[in-house]
Amino acid sequence: MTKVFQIALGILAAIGGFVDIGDIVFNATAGATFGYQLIWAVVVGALGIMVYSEMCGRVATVAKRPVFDVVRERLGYKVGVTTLCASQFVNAMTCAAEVGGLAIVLRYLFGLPYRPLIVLAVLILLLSVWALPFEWIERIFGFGGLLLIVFAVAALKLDPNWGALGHGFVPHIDTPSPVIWAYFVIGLLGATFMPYEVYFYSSGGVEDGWVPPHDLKLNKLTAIVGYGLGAVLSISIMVVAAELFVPKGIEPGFLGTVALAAQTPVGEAGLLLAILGMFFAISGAAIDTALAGAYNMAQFFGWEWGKYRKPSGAPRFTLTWIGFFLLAFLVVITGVDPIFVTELSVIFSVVALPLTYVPILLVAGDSSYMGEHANGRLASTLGWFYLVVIAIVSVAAVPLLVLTNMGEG
Amino acid sequence: MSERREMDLAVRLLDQQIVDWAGRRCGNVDDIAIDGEPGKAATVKALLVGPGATQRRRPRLLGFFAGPSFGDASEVEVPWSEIEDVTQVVKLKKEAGELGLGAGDDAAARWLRRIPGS
Repeated sequence: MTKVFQIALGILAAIGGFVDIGDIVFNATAGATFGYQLIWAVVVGALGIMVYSEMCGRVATVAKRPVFDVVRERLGYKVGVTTLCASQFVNAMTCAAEVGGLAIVLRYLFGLPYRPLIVLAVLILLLSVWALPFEWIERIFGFGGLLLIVFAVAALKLDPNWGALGHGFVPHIDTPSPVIWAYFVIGLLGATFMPYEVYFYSSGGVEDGWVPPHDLKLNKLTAIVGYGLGAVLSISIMVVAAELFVPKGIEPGFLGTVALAAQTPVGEAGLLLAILGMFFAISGAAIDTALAGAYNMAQFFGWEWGKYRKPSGAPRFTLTWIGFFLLAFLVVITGVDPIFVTELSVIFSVVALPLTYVPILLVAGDSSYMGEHANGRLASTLGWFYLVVIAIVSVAAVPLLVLTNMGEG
Repeated sequence: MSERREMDLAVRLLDQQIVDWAGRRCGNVDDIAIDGEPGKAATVKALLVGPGATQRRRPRLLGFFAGPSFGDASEVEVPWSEIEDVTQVVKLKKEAGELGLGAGDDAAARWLRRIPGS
C-alpha cells in the first residue's frame, strides 16, 4: 500500500501533461477528427516524458538539484532568466486556464453562474495548497484524477474496432488534411512535454526526501506508472471520442461534451465519475502549475522553498504560488476562453521546452555530478532522440498553429 | 575555506545555491569578486549576492523581470573567509542574517505571519 501512495507524485505530475483542461478537449477533438490515427503520438510522447522525468528525478535524488537549479547552473544567468520568463508565462497561462476549467466543472456540478464559481475555484485551490501537506496534495488530486479511468471503462464498453485501434499505434496518415494532422501530432507531443511537469516532478522528489539508492527505483517506478496511467487516460478519451463522435460528426469543443461521452456507455454514474475526475485532474493541474511557478522562482533566485515547510518558513515561495492563483483569477474573470488560453501558452512553451530539457540531459549525463548514477548508453540515446523530437515540436508548433488557425482549418 | 583544491569557478561556484550553517537557503552566487593584478596570482575575494550583482549579467530586454528584490539589499558581499565548504551547495560558516543575506525572506515572513496557520 505504501508503494501505491509513493507513486502519487508521478500521477499528479502526469495529470498536467495528459488530462488537464486543454488536453481533455484536445484529445477528444483528436479522436473525433482522426479516429484512432493519433494514438501513436500519445505513446511516443509518454515514453519521452518518462525518459526525462526519470532523469530529472534521478538528478534530484542523487545531486539534490531540481530542474531550475540545473537550468541556471548549466545555461548561465542570461539564458537561464530567458528560460525562466518563458516558463513562468506558460505556467501562469496554464494555471489561468485550469482555474477557468475548474469553474466550468463546478458549474456542471452545482448549476451556479460561472463568475462566482471562479472565486470558489480559486478559494478551493488556495486553501488546499495552504492547508494540505505535500503528500496529501499528491494523493488527493493525483488519485482523484484517476476517476477519469471511467473513460477506459467506457471505451471497453463501446467495444471498439480492435484492429483499427491497434493500427493507431503505428504512425500513418489517412486524411485529406495532412497539415491539420501534423498540427494535432505536434499538439499532442507538445502537451506531453509541457515543462511544468518536470519542474513539479523534480521539486516533488526533493520535497518527498528521495535518497539514493532506494528511491532511484521508486523514481523509475513513479515515472513509468504515473505517466503510463496518464497516457492510458489520454488514449481512452481519444477512443471514446472516435467511437461516439466520428459517426455523428460531433466536434467536442467543450468539457461537458467530453463528459457526456462517458455517460452514453456507462450511464449516469459514468457522467458523475467523469465530472469528478475532471474536478480532481484540473485542480491537480492548477496546483502543478502554481507550485511549479513558485519552485522556479525560488530555485532561480536562491530563496528558501518547499511545501514541507510552514508557509512562513518559505515566505517568498508561498507568496509566489499565492500570486499565481490570484493572477489566474484576474485572467479568467475577464471571461476569456480557458481553452484559448492554453493554446496561447503553447507559443511560449516553444522557448521553454528545449531550454528546460537540454540542461537536464547534460547534468544527468555528467558523471562528476552523478557518479555511478549518470546516464547509461540507453538513457543517453533516448535522451538525445527525444531532444530532437522536442526541437521539432518547438520549431513546428507556432507555424502550424497559425497555418491551421488553431486546428480549425 | 582554507584547504587547497582545484575548482572550476564558472561551473562549481557561480550560480550555485548558498545555504547558511543551519541549512537555510539564502541566495545564489550571482557573481564572484576576484582580487589580483596582471602577473600575480588571482584569489577569490568574495561572493556577490543579490539583484545588484546580477545586473551586469541580465539580458537587456528582460532586465525588468530579472531582478525581483522583494526587500533584498541590492548587493551583498560574502567574504570568502566566511565559506565553510563548497559541495552541491555553498555552505556558510554563519547564519544568513549575520552576513546580510535572506533579508527578502525575512521581510516576506513578517508579512505572512499575520495570516492564521502560517
